[in-house]
Amino acid sequence: MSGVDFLLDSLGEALGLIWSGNRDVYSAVSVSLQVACAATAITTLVGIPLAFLIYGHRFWGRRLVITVLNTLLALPTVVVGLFVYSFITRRSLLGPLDLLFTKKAMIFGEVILALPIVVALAGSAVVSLDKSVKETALTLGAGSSRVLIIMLREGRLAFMTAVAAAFGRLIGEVGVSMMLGGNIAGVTRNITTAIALETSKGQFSFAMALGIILMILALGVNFVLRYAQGKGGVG
Amino acid sequence: MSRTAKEIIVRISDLVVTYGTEPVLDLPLLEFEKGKVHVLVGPNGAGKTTLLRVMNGLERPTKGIVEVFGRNLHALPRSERLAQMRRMTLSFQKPYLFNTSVRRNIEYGLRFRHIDSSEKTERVESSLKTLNLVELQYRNARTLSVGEMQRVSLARALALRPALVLLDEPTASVDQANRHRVEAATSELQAGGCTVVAATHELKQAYRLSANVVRLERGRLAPPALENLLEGEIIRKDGSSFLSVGGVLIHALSHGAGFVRAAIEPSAIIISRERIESSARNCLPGKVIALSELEDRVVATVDVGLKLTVHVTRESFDELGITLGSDVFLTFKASAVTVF
Repeated sequence: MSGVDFLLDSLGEALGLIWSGNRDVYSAVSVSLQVACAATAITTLVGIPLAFLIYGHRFWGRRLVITVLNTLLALPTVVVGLFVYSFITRRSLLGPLDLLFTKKAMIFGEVILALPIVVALAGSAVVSLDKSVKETALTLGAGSSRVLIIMLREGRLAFMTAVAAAFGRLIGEVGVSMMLGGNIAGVTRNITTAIALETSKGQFSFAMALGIILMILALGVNFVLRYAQGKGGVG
Repeated sequence: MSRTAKEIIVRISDLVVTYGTEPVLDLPLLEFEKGKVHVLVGPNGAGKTTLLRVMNGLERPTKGIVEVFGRNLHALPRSERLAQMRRMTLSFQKPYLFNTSVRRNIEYGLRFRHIDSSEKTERVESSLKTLNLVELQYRNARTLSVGEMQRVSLARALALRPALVLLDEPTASVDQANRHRVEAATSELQAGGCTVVAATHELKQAYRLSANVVRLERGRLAPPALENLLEGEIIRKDGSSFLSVGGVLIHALSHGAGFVRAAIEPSAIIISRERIESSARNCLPGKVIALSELEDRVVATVDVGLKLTVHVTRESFDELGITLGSDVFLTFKASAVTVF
């Protein structure tokens, strides 16, 4: 069998697995989506207010906080995995909570992974939002909460980009999922850990099916974002 | 009107605003009377914008009191300050318009005030008409030119119907054709009982808007910008334009008509004991009613049916032998009369 035949056959089988609704494939997809969506939601709820606090105010040590955040952006996923592992392993501080190798542990790790991304990107949005957005709202008689809503509205595309970037990073990460989820079939096995495992087992078509779905998800996020940007003209 | 009868809407006392070590505003006392149009005039960096921002509560003064509607704005608790801020608005020189349609931009401030929908519509429509924005109302505000944006910003202020409107260089980027609309909107605000404080660097515009002009130089109050400021009607007679002030007719170059403000530079007026035959169109007989000294000059106030101030060098003054009560003639060209 030539190299091209091998690739074409694998692709055919992969598409077959997707089309036939293979349980193992969609179980991994489901875990990926559940964990990434939950982690993205939590990160958004925590990260955007944090971005306003850190980037929208002057305080002692602000530069240091921003430098640390920027450093955390490049943090390898396995290091985050290791860090969280050290807290939740059975003999550690949070051991009694029995989190290791659960989806909760994966979500915990992914929130830590995504938080610097959301804070830094949303922070840039806060900074780039003209000072006069806030001042204009104030001159029109807006109270503090209204001012915040207006700033979120005016910077909506930048904030959405921050959230999409975080989701993109989480859906495709493997280190945290592997170390904290343990790749337990049907429970914590997600797209990326399944790809890593099945490829090493020689199940290339299965891995390729998951790879295709991952690509579609990434493309989907980008299309949604593009569409939102296109609609962003008049709010 | 006597001083006690005046109703003051903004009183600024001992105000100092410092950026770094440099004071950018230092005003011992400044008052703005209710229901009038006031204009702050001065070059860039004179402190006009800072003063407007301090009056609106966007900026805290380093020291001093800013009393707006009778209360020290910067000493109020947050909720009361917000209530005070809702009674006024500030339109910036470079206005920020929200990323939505022109119409919704104008509605914005009304939403915070929970104005009912029929009144909201009425106010928006009326503001759109006044500022010639009806055709642009559904355009995204971000696609407008800077001048159009300034008009939207003013329409947004107009719709709020506040008690006090602060305008920072309201016509800075507005094209000539729409300038008069902005100036008319200012008059409309005043007619509605609103007090307007506008900042401009353009002296002519300042006097077109109002006779209440406050001049700022490097953050301090400067002497009034103009002497011999006159208010009258432009009339045409025998093919010439005259400024009619209290029955006195003064030759002036103006293509306009109706009520205007005008000024005559004191050093452009020649004072003489006899009538001078010259090309100058104006030669008015009068009587010297006051004399004072200003550095190397003598300042004479002459009653020619209206009071005009004339500056003459001490040498000329001595040669002419003018004293209080002297009968004199004032001669000046029609072009020396600046019509605003």
